[in-house]
Amino acid sequence: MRVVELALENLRSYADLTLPLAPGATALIGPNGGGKTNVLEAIHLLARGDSPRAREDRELVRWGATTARARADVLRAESERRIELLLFAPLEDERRPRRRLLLDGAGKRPEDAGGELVVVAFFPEDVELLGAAPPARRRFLDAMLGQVERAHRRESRELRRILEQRNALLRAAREDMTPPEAELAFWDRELVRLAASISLRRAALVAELAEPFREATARFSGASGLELRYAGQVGGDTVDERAAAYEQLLREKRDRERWQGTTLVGPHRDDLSVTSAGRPLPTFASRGEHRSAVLALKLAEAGWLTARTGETPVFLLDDVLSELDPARRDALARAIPRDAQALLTAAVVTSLPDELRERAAVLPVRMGEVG
Amino acid sequence: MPSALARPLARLIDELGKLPGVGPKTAQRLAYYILRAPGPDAEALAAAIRSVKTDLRYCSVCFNIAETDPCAICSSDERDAFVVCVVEEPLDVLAIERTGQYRGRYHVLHGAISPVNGVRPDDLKIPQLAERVKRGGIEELIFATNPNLEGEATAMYLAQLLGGSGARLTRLARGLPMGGDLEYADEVTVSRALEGRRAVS
Ligand SMILES: [Zn+2]
Repeated sequence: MRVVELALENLRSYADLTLPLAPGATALIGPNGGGKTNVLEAIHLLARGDSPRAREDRELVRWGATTARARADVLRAESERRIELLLFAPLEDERRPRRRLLLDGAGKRPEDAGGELVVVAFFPEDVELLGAAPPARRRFLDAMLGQVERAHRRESRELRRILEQRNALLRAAREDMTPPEAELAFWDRELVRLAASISLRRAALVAELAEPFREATARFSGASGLELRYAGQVGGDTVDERAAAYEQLLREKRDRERWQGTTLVGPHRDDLSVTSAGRPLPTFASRGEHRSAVLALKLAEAGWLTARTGETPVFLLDDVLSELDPARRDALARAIPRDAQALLTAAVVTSLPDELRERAAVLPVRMGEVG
Repeated sequence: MPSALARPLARLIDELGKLPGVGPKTAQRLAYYILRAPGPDAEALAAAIRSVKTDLRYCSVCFNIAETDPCAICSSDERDAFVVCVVEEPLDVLAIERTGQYRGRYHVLHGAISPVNGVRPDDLKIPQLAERVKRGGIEELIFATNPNLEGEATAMYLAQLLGGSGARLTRLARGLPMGGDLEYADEVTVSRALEGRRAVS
């Protein structure tokens, strides 16, 4: 699949940009701060509904404007789709308007974004993925599943709301003489149902990623024996097995949950772990090793998304090349499938590996102007 | 700080701004509209506002808002006292009454369980419902809480609480859109949901 045309209005540095994009690789070349990352960020936003760099929509809206608009025309094997997203930067005393999402011109709920355009992305922020706190890794897994499974997006959303309610109840009932069993029953039932389903999907995903990840790390860093594992509270090959295990765990942790006033059981406590000979990666890896491991993970992700959707995802590679040595640059260039649309950013064209320089279209970007 | 606004007008804007869904700009627009409206219209509005506070009360049986206590529905011989439909809000009673299909009585909870908003069972008219059921004479309880998380939590809590009471417990069928409020559903949808109600265990 690929983006045929990207159009941005008042998004970040772009007042008004219409950018036709070629199939295959495109290198956006220009000085830092010139706006090349914003192009990749906009595609990420349209594909997954969030930005790797912005926490709030107002950061994405161009200074002085109140509304930003992004549009991508997407060509898939069997269909064409137009995705449009409107973002608002509300004035101080106005109530915050929701985003608006349009698919082929028809309004959709913004939370239904995702899946129309499938991307695999590497932004500089991702280097921290394996060294950062667990939430970033859970988000990585959930975002990946969310791109191909609507049910996972819905259930993740539901789980967040269940946890909010259940935590509020546990906090409110801290002083009660007896546990609020009757009040907990509904939240427990929903928590168990969602936890079983979400954790099973994640564990199955990680199991499928493990081998491709091992291969990719070997190709990339020469490191061998890196193990990818889903570190979950419960095991089980079926939803029912997991549900039973979660129920048991809830009973065991009842007193501690009451004492701490928070939910200690559920997939929001799980993690994705990378180990080498039993040792966790973060304790010994250098920044370069982290970068290689994360790149390997993203390449495994691309392979998985291709297998699941039957189409090659769009690659978004922001400033990846500058910090890689020539051997790793070549390895990365070879790992990007020839049929993939890939958008790369770099400060200078010379940082492109030979193989990419031959096949990539080069787009100069500076001062918010492309081409 | 001296205000450019005359005090009565500023006060009206303040009060209107406290209404749900009314921002500062809408409050100003409404205030100027009222200011320019013919005298009798503004008087009628003021009288209507005063009247809802002085002439209305809660029915001590079903807790709906009514002019009399007990309300017209609770005191009517035409209505089946064996069936009680449990709803979140008074507006939900209206939605069900609009169908013209339902001949039973009601119990208005005035909300749904939501710990995040500080609402636990005893903050609703749930103890009063338990009392009412204990007094006997109710054969079926229909839980018509909204088909969202809080509504489902409330229905399940009630099912546990009242499971041993001997009354048949039913839930509105899934004709209602998930996340949609009863209040906004059309008559046909509400009718179908009523007809297709199922037992809860
Ligand atoms: Zn009444």
